[in-house]
Amino acid sequence: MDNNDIFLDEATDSVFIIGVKYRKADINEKQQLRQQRDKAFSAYSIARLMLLEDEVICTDEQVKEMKDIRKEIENAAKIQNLITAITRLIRIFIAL
Amino acid sequence: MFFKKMKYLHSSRITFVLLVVSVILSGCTPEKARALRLAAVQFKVESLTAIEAIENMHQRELTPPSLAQAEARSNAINNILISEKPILLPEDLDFLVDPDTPQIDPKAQEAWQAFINKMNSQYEALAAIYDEVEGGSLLATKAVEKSAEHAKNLTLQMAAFATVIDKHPPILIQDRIIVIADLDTLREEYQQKKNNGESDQNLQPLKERAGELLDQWQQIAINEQELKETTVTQCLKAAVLGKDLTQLSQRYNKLNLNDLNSLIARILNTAATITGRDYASLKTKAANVFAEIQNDAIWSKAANTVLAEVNKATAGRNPVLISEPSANNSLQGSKWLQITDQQQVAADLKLLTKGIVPDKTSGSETLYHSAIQQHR
Repeated sequence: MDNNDIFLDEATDSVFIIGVKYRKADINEKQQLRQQRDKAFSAYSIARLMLLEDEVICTDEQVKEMKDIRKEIENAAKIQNLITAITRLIRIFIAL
Repeated sequence: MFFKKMKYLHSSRITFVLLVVSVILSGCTPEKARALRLAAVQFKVESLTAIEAIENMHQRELTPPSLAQAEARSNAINNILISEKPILLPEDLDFLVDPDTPQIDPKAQEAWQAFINKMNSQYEALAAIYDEVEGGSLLATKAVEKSAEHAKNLTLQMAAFATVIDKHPPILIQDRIIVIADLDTLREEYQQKKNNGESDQNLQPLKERAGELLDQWQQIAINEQELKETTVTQCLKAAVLGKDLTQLSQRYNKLNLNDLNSLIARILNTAATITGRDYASLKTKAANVFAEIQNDAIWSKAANTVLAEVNKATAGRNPVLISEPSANNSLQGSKWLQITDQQQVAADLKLLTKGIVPDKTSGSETLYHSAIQQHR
């Protein structure tokens, strides 16, 4: 069990303990518990996010590399178009 | 002058011949490029759907079950009338109208939004690589091979999301809280009545109510299982397509017509057959795919890199990772960003398997085999 697992477990327990109290309370007691309940839910939300964040391996640097590869392919397409156009011209020239 | 002209004509012919030869050697290059682009779009569409599924899953964890309009109205009126706290601000009234929806810390909400945006940008950036690949089908082979590394990383990332959700399945918190709280209230009531010497007949309704709540509890478990399966299935579906895309880009230069048809058929099959109805067989299929990854020298290198990254992150585990909105969010200009019609993409892929190349610019169709003959 790593830290994120422990954090998720703790956040889950808190959200249930406070959530059940909140559910059983009348509206005036809910006013008192509201902040605590919102904090517990926020912690749970962050714990869930941290688990996912830990699995992210693609970096901003790699996204930049992807954009560079895209440019390379765009340039290749331009050059290929140019070669095709020149070849066509030459064919016309030869035909003449 | 005459010799100069002859020499020019000669070199031009050589250029022309070289180009024709290169086209012949490249075999089904335009078709490969189109298949690659469509595979990338398919991977992007399924990945964005998976990211959306993860977001929806989390929203469902936090959202209270909806009440009938009349019940919600009646509760709101009661809350307003018995509130001891004066109602001065709009948010005071909002709370009394809907006290069950938690207010998530704005920082947590921003972090989630940044994560979702970042993931969308990454998968969009990968698909955007291949926007112009058909135009550069002859000269872009090296660039395409370089892109395989990124396709691999994003595939493994999607597979890792599936694994972590499978390990930590979603909890329908609010639904569970309601049942627990109601059962606990029932327990107190029952014990109080029992201590007061109430007859078994009078206690019977409480027992029946407890039975109903237990049925609800089981139903929640079923709903959670469905939610998990839907989300994990979508992530695995994207990952399986990502693997096909990686193979296509890795072997782009060496693929022949048969390879191409088999890969396209597999992509189509993946897109059409993975529906989450048979979760166990999907998990087996995914396990096979990832076993294949481990056995592949290039893939296992990437998998080990991922493992190293994860270990590094685990070792230096720090508090909440609040991602700043990435510069990637400004990613623009991909024509494919507007493509959401999965059916269109699937239809294009189907045409390719039948030997028909849907024309990108005019929308007309060119026969695949006649295209081959033309190039040869």
